[in-house]
Amino acid sequence: MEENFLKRYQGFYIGLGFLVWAILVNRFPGGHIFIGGDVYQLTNLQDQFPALHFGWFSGRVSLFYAFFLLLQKIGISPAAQLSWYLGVFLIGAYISFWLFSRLIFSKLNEWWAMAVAIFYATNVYTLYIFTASWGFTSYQILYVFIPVLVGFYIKVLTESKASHWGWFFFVVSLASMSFSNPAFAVSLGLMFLLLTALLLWAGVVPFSSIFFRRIILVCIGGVLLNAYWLLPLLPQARAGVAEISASTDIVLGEALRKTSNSVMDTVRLLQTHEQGKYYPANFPYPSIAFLKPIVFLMAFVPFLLAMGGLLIRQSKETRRLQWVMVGIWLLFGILMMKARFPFETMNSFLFQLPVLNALRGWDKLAIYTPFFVSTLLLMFFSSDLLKERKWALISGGVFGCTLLILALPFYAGGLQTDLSYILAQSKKKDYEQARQSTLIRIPDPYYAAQGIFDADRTESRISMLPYSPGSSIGRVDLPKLKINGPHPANALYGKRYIELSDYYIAKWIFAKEFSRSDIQPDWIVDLFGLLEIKYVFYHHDAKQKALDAFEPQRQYLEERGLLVRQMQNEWFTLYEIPKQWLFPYVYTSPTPITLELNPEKVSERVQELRKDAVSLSYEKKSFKEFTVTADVMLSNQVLYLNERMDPLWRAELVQEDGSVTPLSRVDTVLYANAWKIPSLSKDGVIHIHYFPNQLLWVGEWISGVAFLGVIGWGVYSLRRNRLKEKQYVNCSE
Amino acid sequence: MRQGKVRLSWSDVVIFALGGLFGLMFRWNLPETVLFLFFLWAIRYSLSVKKIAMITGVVFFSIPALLLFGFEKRAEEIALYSYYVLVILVVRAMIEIGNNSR
Repeated sequence: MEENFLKRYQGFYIGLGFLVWAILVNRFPGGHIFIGGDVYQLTNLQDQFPALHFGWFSGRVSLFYAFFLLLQKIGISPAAQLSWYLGVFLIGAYISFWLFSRLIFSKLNEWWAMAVAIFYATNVYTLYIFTASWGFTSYQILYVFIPVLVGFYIKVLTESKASHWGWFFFVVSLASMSFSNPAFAVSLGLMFLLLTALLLWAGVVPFSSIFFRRIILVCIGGVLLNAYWLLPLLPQARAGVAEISASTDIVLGEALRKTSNSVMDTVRLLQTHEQGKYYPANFPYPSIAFLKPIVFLMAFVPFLLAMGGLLIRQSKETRRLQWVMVGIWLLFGILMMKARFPFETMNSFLFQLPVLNALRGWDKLAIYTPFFVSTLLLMFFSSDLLKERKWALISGGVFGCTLLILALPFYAGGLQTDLSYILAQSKKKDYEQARQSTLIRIPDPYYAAQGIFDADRTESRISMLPYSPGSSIGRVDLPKLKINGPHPANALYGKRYIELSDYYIAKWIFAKEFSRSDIQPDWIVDLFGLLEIKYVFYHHDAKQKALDAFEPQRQYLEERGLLVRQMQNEWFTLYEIPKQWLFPYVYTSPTPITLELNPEKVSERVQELRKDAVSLSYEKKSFKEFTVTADVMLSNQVLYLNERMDPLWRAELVQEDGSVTPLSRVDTVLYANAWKIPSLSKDGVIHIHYFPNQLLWVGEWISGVAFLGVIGWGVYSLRRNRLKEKQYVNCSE
Repeated sequence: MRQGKVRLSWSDVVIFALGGLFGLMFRWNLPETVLFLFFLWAIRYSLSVKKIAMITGVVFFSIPALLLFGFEKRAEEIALYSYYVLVILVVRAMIEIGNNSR
């Protein structure tokens, strides 16, 4: 039986062999971690996981990073974790598409199913994501789930089999890990909406009351299983939409123009914008450089073969599904053209609609195109014509060669070491010799500093000096480390890091003023103290220009004892800010002290506040939930919580009689969250909490129960099927 | 909708003239206007899906051929036209499916 099983799926195993080779040949170099663009690899998840779960992402990335937490717990190194991720992605995409082909085209020859599943796993799009930084974020994992989601979706709409429902909802639960960027949930919803409409029109799914019942069940199940991230997202999205509406940073027309794709590139799964950074435009093989234009041409082959399926005889069912897939591809193609003729007017209207405006990025729509093309390829290979040996050999030969050449870097190696987008402009396409890299070898002193942070269990934070901004907001430039991206502290430590090149206080990048020689530098430490920044990395590995500009300020602050050395090495000096300069995490003052966004006024205001500030003891209930005893002495005081200003932080006064009064927010305080305490006649308790986290608990309960329901349903239907099989055998005997 | 032998009536002439005017109004170039008229023709005369699919195939196959000979701009233009033809093909196919299911 075992032998039969192996023989039956030998095509599948051979395909798997190709991918295992791709994973082995692309092993990430030991001792390195991934930092690039806006992405960083979390290497200390034991400490970082609670912040991830309860922090900004409010549950959205917990499922994804739980896998990496597990890898860390069993001792897998950070570099090996990258290889694991590549493996899970490629093999996951392969299995997912293979399952889709078995579900929908069960009669298709398994060798064709294997070849197309390999194409789905290793193509120009997956090369794009693994040579960019995006491949190493949680939301691209959606790519893995698309085929199996669509496969089971078609099955639950067309057949009444309980196990299909169980599997569909199980995959829906797993796929929810992709929605750390909710725009992907929007694009997935749009894809399913169009798919359903076209399936109905083409008659693949009959239009009946059963259809409506099934759709309602799909929607309810989907919402329940995703409630754990949907609920906390609602208030964040509301605040985010208001922020985007008021923002002048995003110019929609410009964003659409930059991410618009030409038809020729959509057909080839290429990105028009920034194409030069990615394979095949970024061609890393000088000895076979003549192949570059050929690879560009070969990128047309999968689509042309897929279109070839329209010209040959097909069964009625396949033909209908073929029109559905071509129809969705066309509609997505129109959206991907964005600001291009002739759809620019229509698209600029569509992309201004709320929710749809989240789909500005190229990959949010392009992530589905490999699936449409792969499905059309399956249909091409399932035609009767391909059963003839001659045509099978020709098509197989052409497709096989294309498969290998288009995905050559997967099989030749060097995805991030030679082919990274960051090396595209570099003469030396080698991560070790290039000026910048996404694979970073973190020097030992950075790891040694962790002991200091681990010993400090307060809410204090880390930051850096001098101001050495990277290529975009939130990025730092550390040339000696080859980093142009997030600060390594984000990747290494559980303690929070405040990025100088980001807007921590309103729209003020205060660090731009650090080198001003006309002001005494005391204001820097005053401001750091106000924001509870206790540890400061002074980077000797920063840009030389930044170091030179800040050197007088550094000497001044050190001589005055405002920066106290804790560690020194060739990479950095770790300073500590003396305790008396640090503000508490929770404190009060008689009147609200506002901060003028002007370095000349900072010290004066901070000293005023420091004089009046009274630290309050608090009880930490959970990661973002605290209680403070409110005695009558706190009447009419201003209560501060030293967290980045966010209206979703809420404070409520709970009195002895159980009455709850929300405290009114003091909006003029921009450096923390502040509320006005009313006059108190009796003692009570102030409950401070981050509102989305309350919804997170509710959502987790809902999704947890729904998931257990899915598992229970799966076990029940499995047992029922076995019983039926037994009865059938008994009856036939 | 008509099928089979094409015999132009006055109403056809009016429809195609309006199609041409439509092109002028939106300042389409000649190939785009011709494609629009082709779309009208494909719908009005129920041009077979197979024939449109053949045309689509030819147009799509010409893109890499043009690129091969260095006509990049022309290839991009043809890619857009091939997209239009594919839209016509899918619309025609969907109409046919709709008619058959009724």
